[in-house]
Amino acid sequence: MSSMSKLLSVKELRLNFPKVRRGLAKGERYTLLYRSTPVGVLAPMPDVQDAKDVYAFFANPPKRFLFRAKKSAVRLVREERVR
Amino acid sequence: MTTNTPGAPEGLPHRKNFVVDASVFVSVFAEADTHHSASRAFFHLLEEQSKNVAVIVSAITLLETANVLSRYGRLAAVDQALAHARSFLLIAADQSFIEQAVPYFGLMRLKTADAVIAACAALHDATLITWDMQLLREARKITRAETPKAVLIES
Repeated sequence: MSSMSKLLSVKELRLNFPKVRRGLAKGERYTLLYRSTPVGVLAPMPDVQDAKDVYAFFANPPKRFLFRAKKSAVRLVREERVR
Repeated sequence: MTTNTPGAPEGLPHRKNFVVDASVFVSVFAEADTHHSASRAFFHLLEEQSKNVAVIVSAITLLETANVLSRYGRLAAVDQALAHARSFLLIAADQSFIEQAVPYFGLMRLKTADAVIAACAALHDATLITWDMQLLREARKITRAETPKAVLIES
């Protein structure tokens, strides 16, 4: 998902929706403008196959990414929130 | 996990939304953590159910996870985790979110980061997934909240 988005007026969306839809399919993101003011964001739906790969990464992270800590994960995160 | 949304067109599967807390992500990488295996098993369940589930994360969750991994020198893991997290629906604390989330804060006794994550789940009709029992108890006042283990048992 690119962090850059294209500016798109409501009028352009109405007139060029097929083109915008093709852009979304390619992963484009759009900031929707109404009377020159940003009113929303159009972004592609997350790809199901991508999501499957992502969940697989967290289900089986590479061994070299693991670490050993004396504290629990809850404690490590809790410390992030109280310092 | 594949019930239809009430009022949804016939045959359209309901996507179950999960807001996953940093305690679960950190547990995935902390191999000595009590919940390490269950956290990984939870993501394996999501992998199996990927067509019907969506993971939503607060920006705070990603930052906390990245910071813990960085402190343990797992910088490559941070890069990979952040790259993969691009497929999640990332919720930033923008003006719109703040205006919708703040009314929930008075209903719970939580510090800000916890309250943001719980509100994130409430606003997205999602189940909050956490190993933090304090967060889980308080979040249940405004939304569904479970441990990964409870979701695994339910499935």
